Amino acid sequence: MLRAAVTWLACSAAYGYALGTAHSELYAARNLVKLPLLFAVTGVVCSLAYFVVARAVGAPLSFLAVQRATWRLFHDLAVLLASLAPVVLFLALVARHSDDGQLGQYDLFLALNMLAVAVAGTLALARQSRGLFEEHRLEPPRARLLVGTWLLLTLMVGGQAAFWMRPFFGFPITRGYAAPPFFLKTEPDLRGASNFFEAVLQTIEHPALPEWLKRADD
Amino acid sequence: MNPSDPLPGPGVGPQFETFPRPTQATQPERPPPEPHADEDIARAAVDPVRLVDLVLAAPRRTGANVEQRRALGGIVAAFLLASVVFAIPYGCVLGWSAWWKVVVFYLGTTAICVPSLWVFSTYLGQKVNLAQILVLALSIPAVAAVFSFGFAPILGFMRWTMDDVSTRVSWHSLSNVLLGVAVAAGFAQLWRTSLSSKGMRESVLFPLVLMVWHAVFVFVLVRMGDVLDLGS
Repeated sequence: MLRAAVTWLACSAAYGYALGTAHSELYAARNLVKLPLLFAVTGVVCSLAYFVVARAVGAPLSFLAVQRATWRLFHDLAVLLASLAPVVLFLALVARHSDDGQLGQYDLFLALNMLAVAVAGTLALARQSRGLFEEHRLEPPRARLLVGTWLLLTLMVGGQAAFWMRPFFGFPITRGYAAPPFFLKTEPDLRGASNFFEAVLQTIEHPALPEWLKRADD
Repeated sequence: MNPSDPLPGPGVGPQFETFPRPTQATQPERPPPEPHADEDIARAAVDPVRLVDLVLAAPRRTGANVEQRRALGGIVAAFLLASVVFAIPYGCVLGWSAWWKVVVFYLGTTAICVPSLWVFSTYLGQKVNLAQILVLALSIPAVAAVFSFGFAPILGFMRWTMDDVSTRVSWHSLSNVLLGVAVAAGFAQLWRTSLSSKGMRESVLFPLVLMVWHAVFVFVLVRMGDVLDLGS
């Protein structure tokens, strides 16, 4: 248990560090704490809902068993992401040393990391659902429904937690400014979103960037 | 019973046999579940985990109780208890002075709509008594309340981390989505319970009544949300 906890902590911190390197050492160092905190907060906030959903789909799991299963999900996710940390670190360093000091490759880097989290999350999910129906003799469709619902809850809470805990890696133009707050909380982002759900809407609608940043991008 | 046969009089024939579907190719059926015993229900009233299980985890067993008309009073009481106790934390997250609102939102809507379900079902030949209808209908607020209980920490987190002045997606709108999901889970549980009862499963009209009743329920629920000011 202790070993698993240390592994989870080290792996999530390593991935966080690699992410932050795209901006600066300050961001990278902060991410050593922020990434594990992000995973932990998401798991704790969702824990009760995980249990209720498990009982609703008829999974014979106690509250502790549910927490163990979701903990393993986060553990696997952290390990998988850590394995990508060297790749992310390399890309981050290249981007940092070749950007224009304005918008840089922020959107591309964000998209690649979203993809990494999605792939790692899906794989961890598939492994957990297989484990669930083997260990607890849960029918495969129910196991998938259960873990899929857990994923949806995790995405919702984790997304908002990540938005609130920004910045994990900021725009290059903010480099060299006075250190930003540890968490930006509800402060609107450059496109005006003040929470995760608005940011998702903006990703779909893709509104224009502020004029000063657009000019820099051109 | 043939569809062209006249309706049986009160107390005649099996308890739910009315408007049966034509016989279909037989499939191997699961063994009939045991109904909840009185002692199990009494224990659930004092043990929250057992209460969650009674509400969520055994719709087929609850369906057996409905079918056999066993321990219905106890189940109604347990569902009422769950509807109240588990809905309060979510109400507290909405605001300390709003602790009662989610209870009224779920139970009030159900109370308003239960008479129509009972009368229409009976009128259309479904031989169900009020206790059976109450167990089925109360599965909606009970399940919704348990889901709300699970969602309460999530809403609390959203409220804490989201700006109140946000115009596009506020924590209030997320709360409405979560309440809607909870009610949808209640609907699903009602169907799981009623379809596990042989008489209702074989009835053609009862599912139709239920579907129309759901539309009425949703309409009343939305209006109830407006009255209770849950959307803002």
